Amino acid sequence: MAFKQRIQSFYDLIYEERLEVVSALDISRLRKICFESGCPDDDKHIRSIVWKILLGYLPINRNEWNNCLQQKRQLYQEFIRDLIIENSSIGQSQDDHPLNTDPNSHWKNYFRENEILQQIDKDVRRLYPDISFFQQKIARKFDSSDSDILSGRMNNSAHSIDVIKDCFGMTEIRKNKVYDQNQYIDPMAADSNDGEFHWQVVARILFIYAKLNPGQGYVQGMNEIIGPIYYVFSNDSKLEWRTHSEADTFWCFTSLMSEIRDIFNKHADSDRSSGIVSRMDRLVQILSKEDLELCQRINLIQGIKPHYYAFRWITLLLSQEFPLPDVLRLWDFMFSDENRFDFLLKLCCSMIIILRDQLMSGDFANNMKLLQNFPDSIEITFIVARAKTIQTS
Amino acid sequence: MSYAYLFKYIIIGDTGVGKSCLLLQFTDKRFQPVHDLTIGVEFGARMITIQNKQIKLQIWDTAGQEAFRSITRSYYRGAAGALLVYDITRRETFNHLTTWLEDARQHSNSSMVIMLIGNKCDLESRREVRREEGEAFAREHGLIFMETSAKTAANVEEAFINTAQEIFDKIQEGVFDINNEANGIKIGPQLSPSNQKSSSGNQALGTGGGCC
Repeated sequence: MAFKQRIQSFYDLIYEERLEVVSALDISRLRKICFESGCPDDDKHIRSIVWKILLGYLPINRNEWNNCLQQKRQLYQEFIRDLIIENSSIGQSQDDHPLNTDPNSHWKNYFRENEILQQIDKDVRRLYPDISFFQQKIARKFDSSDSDILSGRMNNSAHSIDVIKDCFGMTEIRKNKVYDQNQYIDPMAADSNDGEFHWQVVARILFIYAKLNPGQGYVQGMNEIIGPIYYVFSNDSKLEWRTHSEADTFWCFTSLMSEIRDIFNKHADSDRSSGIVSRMDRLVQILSKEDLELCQRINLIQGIKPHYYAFRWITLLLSQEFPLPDVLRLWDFMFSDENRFDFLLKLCCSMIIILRDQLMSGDFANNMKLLQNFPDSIEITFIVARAKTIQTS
Repeated sequence: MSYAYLFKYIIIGDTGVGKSCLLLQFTDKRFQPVHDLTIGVEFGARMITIQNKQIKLQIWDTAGQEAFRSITRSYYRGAAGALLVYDITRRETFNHLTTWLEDARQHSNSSMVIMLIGNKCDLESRREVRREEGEAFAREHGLIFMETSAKTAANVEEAFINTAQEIFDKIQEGVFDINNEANGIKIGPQLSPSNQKSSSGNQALGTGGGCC
């Protein structure tokens, strides 16, 4: 199908006029066309809207969209207000002090949170170093200087100032700036002298998520999962969507995490029913069914266990194995499958099978390196096509 | 390529201390300032020479974050050497050494050689942990100690090679049971009596251990 036609078919489906009346969009058809060939890269709105639908953020009833978006975006602003802004005015109680060891001490919590913040801060600075996007500034501000409170807290520590020096060759401390409350500057109008970096927005989303999910907290790798979602939403060609990329990313990330929570749960590591271990077992199972000889060679004879390579593949949904544009395409296919994480395993299996010739002749060290550094010469369309045949076999 | 012995190493320590950069500098002789986060493990291999013997090093570089600790632990078993790394510009990474060490001692074999590494020694102006403190910690816990810079490559070769030297010496002294693969040492195909043609010595572990 010509690419213009493809773009049109997405628009027809999502923005069909009669949807104003009948309202429910044909989700199975949407899944189908997205699973067939992914979202068109040429249109910067389609993927952004399709992911929101497929991840269950946007209801399939079109006339519920406005309400839903308004509520969710408002709620996110409230999280920011409650968890970052209000929370930073601590130490008002006379009895509380920075050396208080009482577990309910605001100060104690404050320091614990600063540890999480510094961890997130360090990790998001390392996000997709091969593209410049996350290191670019956006000029947009919220209706308060909340981001400065957060970055002020990060900057209170000598470490994070040092990290800035490392990454950008400069030191920058921005605190207590006052912004015009109604000022809105487009996030795509990058690189003004003011405003925050994209990675700082990602850090804020992760911090809010960690605070709202204290049992899980922040785990390294969440940054890599949030990255592509935020990238897609903040490059939406429609301003009204782009404006809310932060809140929308938060909700879509939360929804995705609810499906893969066990992968990131350290207590579930050994839980054979749902955690990462069982997913890796399942991968070996699929591989042995598809190519027994290859499976036996790497898994049994050479002893290359799936957790040596597939741990990262599965945990990060393949986001560290490919350049960002390829990751976006892979995620189109993954998200559009109803059993998306089973399809992920099929993609993993396909990646192994595609390397068959090299794996059958390579020794342990070579094969390990090959699997840990998937060759970028291989087109992802091959990987997807092979995964689909596994799906139907 | 044939080798006399194969030693398995593990690199451990807090997140962001430069474990992956040390490995990359040692195996590829390059420095990557912004390295991907390590999730799970990364693998590297290189051949070195000790007393005219070819030694193959297989190195497992692990994720530093607490959440991955249960995965990391499974790599201690079967390691002959460990590089325990902290960052001389971040005091807390030094403070956590005791926990790392306890973890390592508990999950590894008792003869594992541990090298303590204070990394980022090129950043002298931001130093938070004095060299003497590292030395004292190493002395107290019976570790070898070295300050390195993965950026300038200072002492990186030495850190990996001195650890191998120590393991090699222990083999000579008979401390390591080289016939027990769980110790992280394998006899290479050229020394192994059951020298099989395929799979480059992966299962080939003879009884002779014919070293010197």
